[in-house]
Amino acid sequence: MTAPVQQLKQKAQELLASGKVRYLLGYAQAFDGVGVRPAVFYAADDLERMVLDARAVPGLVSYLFLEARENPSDPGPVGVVVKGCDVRAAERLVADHRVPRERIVMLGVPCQGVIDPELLGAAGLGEVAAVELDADSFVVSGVDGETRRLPRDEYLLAKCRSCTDHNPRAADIMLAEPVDVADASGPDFAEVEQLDGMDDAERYEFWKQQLSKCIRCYACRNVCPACTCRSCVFDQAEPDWLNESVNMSEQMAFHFTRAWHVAGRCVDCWECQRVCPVGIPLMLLNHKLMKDVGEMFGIERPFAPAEREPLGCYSSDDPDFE
Amino acid sequence: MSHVEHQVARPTEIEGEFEPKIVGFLCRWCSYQGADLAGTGRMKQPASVRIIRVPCSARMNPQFVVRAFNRGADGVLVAGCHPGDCHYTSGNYYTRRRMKLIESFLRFMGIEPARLMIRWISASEAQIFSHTVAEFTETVRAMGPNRRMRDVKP
Repeated sequence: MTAPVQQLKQKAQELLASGKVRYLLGYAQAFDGVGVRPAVFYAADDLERMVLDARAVPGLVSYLFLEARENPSDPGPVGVVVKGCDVRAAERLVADHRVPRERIVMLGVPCQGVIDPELLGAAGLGEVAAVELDADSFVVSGVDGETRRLPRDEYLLAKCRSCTDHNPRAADIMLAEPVDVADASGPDFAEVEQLDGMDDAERYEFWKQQLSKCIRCYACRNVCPACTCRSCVFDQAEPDWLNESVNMSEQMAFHFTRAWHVAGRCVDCWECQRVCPVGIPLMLLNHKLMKDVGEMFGIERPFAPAEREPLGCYSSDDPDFE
Repeated sequence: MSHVEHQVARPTEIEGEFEPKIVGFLCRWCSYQGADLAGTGRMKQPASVRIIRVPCSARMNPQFVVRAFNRGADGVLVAGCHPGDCHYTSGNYYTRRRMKLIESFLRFMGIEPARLMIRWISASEAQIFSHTVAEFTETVRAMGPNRRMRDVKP
């Protein structure tokens, strides 16, 4: 699949020139020359540097929350490039009343999967100009003009393996025809089940090791489209729920709380895990809660924003304690 | 919070036998009344539970549980009205959803599931309260002091 970069540039130009959006959130070449980075486009004649291909991993939707927080008076809509997974994040912000829907113009890109940026970097192919997904391989075009192929199954980003939304259905503008790929029914919980199968002591050791790496940078919270309280429990000095000490009780309390606060609301975008500088498998925690919410309360798509939050309602038939 | 700290921050082991420290969050309308009745009825039960009265079991912020373990509790008991009997009509239904998740999630993070007990105890069920406390205390005693989710050497 070739990314619709020409269509995107054309639409972006129209939107910016006509003033229908104040600015556009998209991608540009990253400073390392290999990946892409989020970029803001203010002017119709600034679109040369715009990039869109199978390296479009970072979610852009969370910036909409910052925008709405900075400008509560609504100076006008903002355009954003979205894949199917990003749409769920946008729906989250709208459902949480953080960003009014009319302030978002979503430019939807049908997506068959993106490349894992870490693996691409580790492949050591030099500076990369573009990456496109072919039938079974990523075609990497180097800045040097060379084309190399990387096997899709090996280099596909983990979250794409269980993609539930290849097409951004709720997008305002579709940049290409929808792709005809079967969506998965939900995330893959195999790792959660594996961990669940261990005994308590082993599991505790696992988390102790993982969580002791945490440097409490709060990147996982900051990037999360579901973690948007105006006043966050982690920032409050009073009451003293949590402090910044780096010890096991604070680490455990922090990670328990972070995951718990998005329980039933996580949209499975994997951004927390992607931005974690020390590589804590945060999605394991989110997936555990997601799996339980789905199984215990019979919710079919526990990763998709719904009318009623699973923990904001109840049923008299819920599982009970003995 | 300082209230909780004050009650549970001391070391768990006193010389000799291990006496579990249990924090009990009891709903003001049912379980706390049940505990009260157990007292006025002179029922014998272990003195291991430090009772914290909550206005409704739905007042239970899951952080109460985590913080109790963080600060030295060996077990946490949460008790409220039977589903359907909530003084505020539906509070305990929300609690039930939340605590079901919390139970499973704490287990996932490596806490022994038996250290958390959730029970529905009505104002007239003093006997059940008394039994619950005795049973839970024995369970926790058998497991020994909690070292997980805390900053102590195993």
